[in-house]
Amino acid sequence: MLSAKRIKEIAKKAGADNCGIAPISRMSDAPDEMNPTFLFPNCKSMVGLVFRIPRGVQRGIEEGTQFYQYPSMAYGGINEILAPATLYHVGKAIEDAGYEAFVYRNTGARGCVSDMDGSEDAKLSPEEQIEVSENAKDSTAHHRSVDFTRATRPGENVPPDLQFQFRICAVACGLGEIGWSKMLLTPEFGPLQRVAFLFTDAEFDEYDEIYNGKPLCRRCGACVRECPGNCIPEIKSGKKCTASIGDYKMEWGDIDMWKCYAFYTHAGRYYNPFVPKEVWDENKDGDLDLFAGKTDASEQEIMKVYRALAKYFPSWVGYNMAKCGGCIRACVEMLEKPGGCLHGRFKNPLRTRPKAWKMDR
Amino acid sequence: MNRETIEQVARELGAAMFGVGDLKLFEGEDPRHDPKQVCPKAQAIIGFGIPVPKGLYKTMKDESQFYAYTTLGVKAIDEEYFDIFLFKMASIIEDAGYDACLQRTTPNLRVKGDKTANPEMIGVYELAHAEAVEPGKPPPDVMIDFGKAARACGIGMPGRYGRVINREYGPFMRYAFIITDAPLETNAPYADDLCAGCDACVKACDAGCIDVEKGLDSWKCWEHYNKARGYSLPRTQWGYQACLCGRKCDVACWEHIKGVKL
Repeated sequence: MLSAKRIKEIAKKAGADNCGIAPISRMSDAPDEMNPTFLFPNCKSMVGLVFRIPRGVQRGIEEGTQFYQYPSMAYGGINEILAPATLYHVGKAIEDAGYEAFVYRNTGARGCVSDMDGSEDAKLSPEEQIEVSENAKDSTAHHRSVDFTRATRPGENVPPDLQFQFRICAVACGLGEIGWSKMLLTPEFGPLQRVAFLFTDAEFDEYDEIYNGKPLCRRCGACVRECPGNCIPEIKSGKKCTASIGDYKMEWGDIDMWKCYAFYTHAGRYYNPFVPKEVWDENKDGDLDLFAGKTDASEQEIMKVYRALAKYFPSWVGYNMAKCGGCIRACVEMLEKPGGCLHGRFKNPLRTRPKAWKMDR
Repeated sequence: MNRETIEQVARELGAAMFGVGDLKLFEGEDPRHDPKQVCPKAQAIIGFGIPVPKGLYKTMKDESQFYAYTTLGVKAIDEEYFDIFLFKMASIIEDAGYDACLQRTTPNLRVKGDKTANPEMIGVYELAHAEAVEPGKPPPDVMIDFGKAARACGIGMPGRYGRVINREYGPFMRYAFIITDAPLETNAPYADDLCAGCDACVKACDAGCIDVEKGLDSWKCWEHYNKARGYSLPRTQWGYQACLCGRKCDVACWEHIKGVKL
């Protein structure tokens, strides 16, 4: 049995801002293809790590002057550098105590089931670029490279690499709750964090309770109002997703994820300063119909958008620049108001103007 | 939190150079490079320097190893070491209630109109289009000038060929910055002129990429950087190219400043 306090100390010293530990049994209701138990059958506990996204990397987006540092640092940097380095240290401590430590970072949706719509293919992540260059003709160069995964263990029908629901696991670890926008909200950082996990056959002397404090999401609807693509349904619409961990119930808006993908990556005419107005006006071959509301969002429509706008930020440059940022910034703004969990956290609020910027086009 | 506590943590995390620059020094700066455009309420910019191991230059000078320099001396420090470093520094600043706008290098991205190359990168993308989101703002992305930022923080100066240099480490150092609204005691700007009367870098470059007056021809340097020996090492998957010229400019600069041979 391991000391939860000791492991949390190691995690925080290594770079995590918070750490929660839960028995893996809390995930027993998860669908097989999203149940981390299939990753590590002997697992008894899961350790969830929170890495804050510094609000300062949203500052440039809020001002409309700097977009690159957020995806570079707060997406790629946390997922690929900080989280793995921290997981390594925590895992080392657990293994030195005689247990296994199966570490799992955010992999950009390479699971056997899409985290976009639950389908068995079409695996995309909004922050990651779709490869539309010459290399894309070779499917092995495409980051959606797990379409042919098959179950490997007799008697099971769960192929590697399954991707569990990070945010639900974070909730199970007692780290926070899921807001209407589907973002994980924590009392310390609101929507500004990323998470990583470690699964182990160790048991701990104590486990964290699921968060049962004051609701963090106040159903204010700011995320709905400020999403430039209207991707998040109205709260009263009844369009929602539900899940449970034992008796604990969760619900969030049934977001149009493909539309979210399109607007996150390319934002549309009013929120993308890197694509000329004329390109939106021309809408050559109808490739940008999605942004004009003339067609539903889908992977096929997304690919059209990518090809049409590839020259304005080629895939080889790096992670997609988060031009919309609507739900995150709207959420922070509201949570910094009296009664919100971020109230008083910063000397100056994120939003210092009545409304977020919108280009006059 | 104050300047001393930030510096103490920065030193513990590996910063060999530390300084705080007053953003008033950027008044009149091209808005596309002005830190205040990223964070209008900012008062200071904090600069950090992480040394590049001399051994990476020595092995190039000895012609025994060329691959490791950009891999470990550039990419690993800029994109990995500094990532963890900056996040930890940001935690301290945020926990005191202030914004920490992290600024690490953007090695393969250029603002619209910047036609320069980055010899360390296989390719560089100049934004095809960028326009202000509203009147009074510069077109994104605002990218701070690391040379000017280092000077403001009192930790270095832009050398003749574009590298940030200082007396302690010459050009053997990488930099990152944090723009913040925290009120911090600032350094005096870097006052030394380490390039005065020196053209060691100009003479050292085999391809004549550096002009005494005009500075570095980045495209000529890009061409020479990975082909100086008549062959190329394989391109890295992460976008950097190996240095085959041995960065003789850096070595000559370091030897001039330190007064000893590497």
